[in-house]
Amino acid sequence: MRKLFLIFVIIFFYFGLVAQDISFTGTAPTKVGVNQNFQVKYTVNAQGSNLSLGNYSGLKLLSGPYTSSSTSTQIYNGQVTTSVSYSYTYTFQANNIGNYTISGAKIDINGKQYTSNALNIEIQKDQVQTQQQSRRQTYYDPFEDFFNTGQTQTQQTKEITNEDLFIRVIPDKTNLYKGEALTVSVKLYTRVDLSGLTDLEFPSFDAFYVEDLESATRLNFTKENYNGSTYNVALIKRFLLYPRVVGKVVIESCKAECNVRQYIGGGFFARYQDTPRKIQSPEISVNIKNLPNPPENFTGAIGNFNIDLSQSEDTVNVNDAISLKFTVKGTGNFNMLEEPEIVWPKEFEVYDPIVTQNLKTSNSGINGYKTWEYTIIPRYPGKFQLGKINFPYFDLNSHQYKILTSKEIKFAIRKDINDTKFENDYNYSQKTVEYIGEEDIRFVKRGNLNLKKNFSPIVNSSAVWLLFLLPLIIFIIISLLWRKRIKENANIALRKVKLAGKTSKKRLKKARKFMQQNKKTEFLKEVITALWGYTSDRLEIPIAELNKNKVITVLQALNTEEEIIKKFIELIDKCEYSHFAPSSKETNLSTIYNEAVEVIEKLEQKIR
Amino acid sequence: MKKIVLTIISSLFFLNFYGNNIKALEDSALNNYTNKNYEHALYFYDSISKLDYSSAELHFNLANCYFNLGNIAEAIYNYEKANILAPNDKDIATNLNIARKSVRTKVEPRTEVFYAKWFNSILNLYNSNTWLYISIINFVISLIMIGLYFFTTKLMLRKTGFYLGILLLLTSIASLSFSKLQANKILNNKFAIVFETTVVKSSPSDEGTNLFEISEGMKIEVKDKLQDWSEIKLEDGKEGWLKTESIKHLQL
Repeated sequence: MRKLFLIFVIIFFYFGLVAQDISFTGTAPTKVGVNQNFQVKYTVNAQGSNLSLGNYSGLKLLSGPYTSSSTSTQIYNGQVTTSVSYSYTYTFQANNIGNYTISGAKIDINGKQYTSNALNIEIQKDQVQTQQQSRRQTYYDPFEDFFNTGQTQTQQTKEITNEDLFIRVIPDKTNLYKGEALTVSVKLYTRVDLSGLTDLEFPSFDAFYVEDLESATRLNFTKENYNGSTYNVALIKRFLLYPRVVGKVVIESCKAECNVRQYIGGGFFARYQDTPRKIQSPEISVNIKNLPNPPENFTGAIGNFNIDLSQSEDTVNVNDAISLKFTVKGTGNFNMLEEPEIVWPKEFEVYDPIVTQNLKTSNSGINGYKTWEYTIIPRYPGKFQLGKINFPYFDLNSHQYKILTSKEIKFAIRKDINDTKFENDYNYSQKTVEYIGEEDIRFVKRGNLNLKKNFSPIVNSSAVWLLFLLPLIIFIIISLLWRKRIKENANIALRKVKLAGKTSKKRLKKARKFMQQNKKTEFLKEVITALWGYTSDRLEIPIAELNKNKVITVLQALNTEEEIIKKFIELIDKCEYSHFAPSSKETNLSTIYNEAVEVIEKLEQKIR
Repeated sequence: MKKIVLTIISSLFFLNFYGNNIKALEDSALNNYTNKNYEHALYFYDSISKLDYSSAELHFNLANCYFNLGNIAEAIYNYEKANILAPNDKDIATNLNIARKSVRTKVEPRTEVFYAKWFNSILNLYNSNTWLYISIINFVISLIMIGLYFFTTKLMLRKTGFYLGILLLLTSIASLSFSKLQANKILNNKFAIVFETTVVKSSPSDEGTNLFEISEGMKIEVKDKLQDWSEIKLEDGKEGWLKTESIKHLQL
């Protein structure tokens, strides 16, 4: 078997010599960190011997060469092609910053010497070094000294850079609205082996409402490509954040300490060294926009919602409970949802709503439903329309406000016929009308606005006196025209009234004279004239209308005592009788006289 | 931009028919007000007032617009003006009371003696012009009554004529003085409305001691003026000085 293999090798080698030119190239990374190990590889497509490195001053050769070879055979159109490749790998380290050159290496192939290309390497300052912990933990391997005496101390571990191990805080978006859900994942990226992760310190997320989405109990590494390299990536934690503020918000860095497990010893027992290393994610900033001008009643609901309103019954008896359910379903910031605004009539007894919610946090936000359930007990019959519930929210798909409107809340409350107690208990028939909500100002004036140009009160204009003067002048003119009448009125009417008593007294005086002269006829005539004249003047009865009945009615109208009226009439009768029948029996003139004086005096006192 | 469009629209109204102009402005204003577009309603009502038209109703409507726009000082100012022009209007009184509730500071109003209350309630039954008309009518009737006394012979008529005539003449004089008083309220109103919240000083200078703060929308009495300072008095008797620019007088 082995012989057969050797034969094959020889045959291939033969073919290779014939078919190919010799190429001898060196490859090395162009940029390397200081104190960092790097590998230089020389490849040759034929077997050679006596490989000697060129000048590599300034660099430290750590190990090498490691040799490896590969062979490939191709059969193409019946022709067999074989290629062989040998590679020699050296590990170097540079302790100083600068540009270094490794001059071409030399190799002998079939007695001929070949030279490779020269390699330029730039050694840069390595950030890893500054963070390197001085504290090192070494697991002591008891066999180490036995197998590798004196070598351990100089053995260098591979340096770890920030590109080998880091932590990232990844927001799912960096530009969002206030109240919009933001998912932030904290991930660990590594290219080295880790033995542990301690002292995890998450950002404080001060500007957000925070909900934990996912928390890794153990690190589950998956392969992920990042910045052109493949990493082992593990999710540490995922948060759901709702921004509370507006503007540029910086999410602080996430800090952690990792234990990096490194292979040190190449001995029989592999030896590892755990190096603690502090890592810190870069700060990220998120831009939080304010929502555009919100509509009325907007409480801050953002997301994608649906509402539902249901009531247990539309028509119930007084004092029967009704339940009203308002449900908001969907995805969004349920924590910002507020109780719907329903203006309950005072006839209803309403209990605080029972709030139930079934919410799940997911990457897109909080998902589920929230229900407010009201228990209402109507205390008065009637038809009640409580309006619709408006639920405005900011729709994240269309980036605009949407208003969901429920169906109208309507109740018909019947009077309970069997309940006779009701009216007495609740004083149902009488109730003061009260403002349902807040008092508002009254509506504007419509129709005639009584607009006046340069309005000024008339009273202050000088023309206003004319308004008074004019009727006064008319009055004065009329008075002047009728002044005779006024005088007459004053004479006839006023004077007569005033002088009625006096006139009658004068007449009576005259009558007394006649009585003393015993002129009976003249005396009686004078008395009668006095009596009639007095009544005519005093009571303002024209002579033409003067008669007993008229006098009686006028006197009665003036509330004169019946006695006086009777006396007055009797006296007149007596006088007239004596006057017109003189032959009759003697009448006492002095009695008549005295009676007449008495009656007129009394009337004068009565009529005022 | 909005304003420019509005100006163009309203100037078109002017050009077309000046007579119907006011009606058109009124209709636009009412329409906008009903649709809760108070800014535009205010603009239209204001255009009417800028044409030198004035009335209690117009001030009331302006005030309503200002109130809904949250400008309490202007609202109260216009309600007060409307109230002076139409002292017995219940709408104005109601809205003025509601608007006053929005003023941040409050002064306990002086309690009026009962007869002062009666006097004021009678005085405020009508505005100046109505009182004047009442006075003239009373005067004419009183002349007729005195005529009755002079020219008739019936005692009853003469008596009623005499007494009613004197009574109506007195009423006429009283109404005339009421009319004067109401006119004074319009022309020489001593009161003003505070337009910006300020600190009242003890003397008419910035160096004066700070006495108290009065806020936007309060009604104050102006007692005196010195350069650009006014001496003011609150209803509860507090007095002090403030810059005249921070108040607006109620007189025409």
